[in-house]
Amino acid sequence: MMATSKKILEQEPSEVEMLLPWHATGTLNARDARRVDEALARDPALAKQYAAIQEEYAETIHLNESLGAPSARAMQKLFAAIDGEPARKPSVSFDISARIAGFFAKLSPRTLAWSASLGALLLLLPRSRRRR
Amino acid sequence: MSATQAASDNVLIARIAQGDRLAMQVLYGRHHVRVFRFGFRLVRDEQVAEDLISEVFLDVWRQAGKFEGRSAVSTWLLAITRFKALSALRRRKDVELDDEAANAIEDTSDDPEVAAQKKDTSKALRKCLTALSPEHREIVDLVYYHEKSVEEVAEIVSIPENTVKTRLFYARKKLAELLKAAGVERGWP
Repeated sequence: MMATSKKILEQEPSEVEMLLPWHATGTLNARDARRVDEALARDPALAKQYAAIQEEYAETIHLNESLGAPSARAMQKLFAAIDGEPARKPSVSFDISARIAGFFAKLSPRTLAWSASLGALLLLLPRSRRRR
Repeated sequence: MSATQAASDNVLIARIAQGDRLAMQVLYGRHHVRVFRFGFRLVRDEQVAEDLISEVFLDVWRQAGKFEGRSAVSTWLLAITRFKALSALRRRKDVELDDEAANAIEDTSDDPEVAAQKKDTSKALRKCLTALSPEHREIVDLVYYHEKSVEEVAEIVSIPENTVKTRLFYARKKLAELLKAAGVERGWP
């Protein structure tokens, strides 16, 4: 029983050992990457395993790249389905901002300048009355 | 994937939510090959994988307004692809073929093809990667090909982060066993 438990414990991978593949792909955070680097430097067996991981990494990319790409049929099917979807109404906030932008865009630069000056004057008037 | 591309993916999703077809074309152009390959490795059928990408991107068109940007768009796409692929597999009901394929690798030590592969570790490795179970295949692909972090894989596969780590470890162990059966020794485990 003791021997069995020991065997199971021996087979349990360490945390650093499990992180090796993510270290190879560069997706670990700085702290974990440092932990793995330190472990690799002091453990030759781990370094050997890491070499095997780099081989797996390269071959997995090779295998996936060999799968090619989908035909144009997939894109045609997608956009035909999108055409069949109900027309989408822009959201209310987008609609209002678009209307405001459209209104100002219609005004000539001179009208816009006069409107801005008038607005500024209206803002300043109540303040000057309050001071009195 | 760069942070700039992730940010611009988010902008595309926002435009798609407004019904912008051009944004949809750009997003499709950027991600459809990876989505196709991930789906293809899961369903093992080119036609089904092609149908999957149309379904995945149609879902993106419909759900873009609900995307909250808590994960990368590419992670979201792979999670949708996985869900669709598993549904397609359930419809096909031939998942058990994967176990047969794995056994076939182990039992073919006298196969001339395998004997020839002994000389070519890379080839043997690729063949054994294909023979892994769907669970093991997907985790190997997500980490090595799609370069997803522990957290991202956990999100895509809907399993805890510790399970992600142990699952990949045992996938690699299985890969080593398959390679050993094919006559390739790598000194691990």
